[in-house]
Amino acid sequence: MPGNEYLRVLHLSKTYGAGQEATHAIQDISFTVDRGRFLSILGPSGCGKSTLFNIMAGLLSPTGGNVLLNGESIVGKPGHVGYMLQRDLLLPWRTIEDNVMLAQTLRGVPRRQVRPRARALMQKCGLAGDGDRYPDQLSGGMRQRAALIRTLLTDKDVLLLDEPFGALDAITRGKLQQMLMTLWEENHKTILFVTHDIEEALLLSDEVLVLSHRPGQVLEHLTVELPRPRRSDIMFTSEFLRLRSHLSDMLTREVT
Amino acid sequence: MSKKTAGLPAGVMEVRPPARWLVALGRWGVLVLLLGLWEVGGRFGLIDRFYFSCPSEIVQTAITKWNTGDLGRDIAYTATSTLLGFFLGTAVGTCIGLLFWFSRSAARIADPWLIVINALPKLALAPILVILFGIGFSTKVVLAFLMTVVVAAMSASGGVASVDPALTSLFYSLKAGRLKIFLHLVVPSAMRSVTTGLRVNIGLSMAGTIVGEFVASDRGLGRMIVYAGTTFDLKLVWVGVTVLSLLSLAMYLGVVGLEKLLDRIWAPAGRQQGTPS
Repeated sequence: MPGNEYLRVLHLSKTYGAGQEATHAIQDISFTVDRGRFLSILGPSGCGKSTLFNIMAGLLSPTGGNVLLNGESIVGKPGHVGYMLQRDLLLPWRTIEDNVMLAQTLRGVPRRQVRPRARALMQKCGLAGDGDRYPDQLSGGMRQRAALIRTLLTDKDVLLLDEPFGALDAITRGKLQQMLMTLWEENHKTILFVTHDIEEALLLSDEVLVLSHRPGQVLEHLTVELPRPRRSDIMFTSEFLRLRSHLSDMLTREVT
Repeated sequence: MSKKTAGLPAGVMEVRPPARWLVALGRWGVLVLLLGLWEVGGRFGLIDRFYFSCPSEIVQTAITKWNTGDLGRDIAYTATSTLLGFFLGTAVGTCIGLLFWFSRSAARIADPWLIVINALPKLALAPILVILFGIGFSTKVVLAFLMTVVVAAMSASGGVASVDPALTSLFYSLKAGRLKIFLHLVVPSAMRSVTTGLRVNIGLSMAGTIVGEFVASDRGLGRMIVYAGTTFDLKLVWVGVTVLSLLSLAMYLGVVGLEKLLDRIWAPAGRQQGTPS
């Protein structure tokens, strides 16, 4: 892969509070991601995944360490990455179309300039006729798709997705995973994807970063050498099963 | 309305809401019954008409008073000062409450003070206001303003405090500035809270105006009632009370309409704030 060391996270630590009551959310996390790669961050709850993302999105300052994008520090500077938080966070008073174009509204870009792209993405994601509807008229899966489109339309090359499919049922989830794969391949994004679902991580990613329980530290950074495009029946191949049991063992040890 | 409860055991899911016509009939029936009893009681001496008058007398007095032009003038006077105080107080209070978003420390400092000011009997200031602003129109507007401004500020600052922090994070991650966040997130989020304050405020505003007229005035329904009371014209007092009730009802309905209008702008189709999934 060209453009190596595109995104570098260097010795990142975050401590909340001080003295006796200090909580170390993450400690000395380092990893690098090449451009266009799909990296999953896997860890038990309380491994500081959200802290890590908030720092990378520039919303939280770390106690120590640095985040470099193309060699430039983005610590404390929001707006360099697209960030999709756990909940869909659609604004109830805006239509779906106005919601997915939120980034442009805030930047003062005229709607008609983005609308064709927004509509094309909505068409692709099965929201073609829903542009004029309001978020609470949509199912959870549809809302999550709208939130994903909004994240794509930020036009950032790096996308941070924080458990985007965590609250969905298995079937909807499978559909959205396939959709995300397609969008990722077509849009050449670098994706960091937080999940605690091992199968989801293996199905989607080029690389998996395993974090420990609090304080979050890197346990392993492994490469998933499964052929693409992947379909869900890849879950029955021996390589997939081997990786799954390896990760499962590691996480089980972490939780107990 | 629907009778599609087939297949269910009787009495389990069959609790049907009462028919709408029945409810409407019952509600108006209560009014007619009360007025009828009042009228009959008055005519047959069961109720002392000197003190309590009776509906037909009240209507007659009202018509006479209307024909002289006094009643219309008083209604217009009271209604104008109430509405003016309501709109000024609500607008200013809402702006103050919303602006607290820009300074968390200002909001924290102001918090107990808002409660204290809200608890103060502002109506007791009426004599001072009369001396300051005279017995004219402005005193009533100032009283109505004082009654409404604090409630509006509290509703708005409550709305500001309830803005979803995850949404604020989302806006920051999109590199939105403070002003953009205020306009596109804080104001629309707080609107629901602001509109619920309106119903309370219209009543408070009218109370302010009337007390202003009670204390010192040469016009208005409040003054008419006080004047009628001091001259033992209790029929006229009842006219004043009735007209005030109708006026307050009309304004309440107007505010409900205004609420619906605002809801349609900020939360279309009258929908609830999105529930976190």
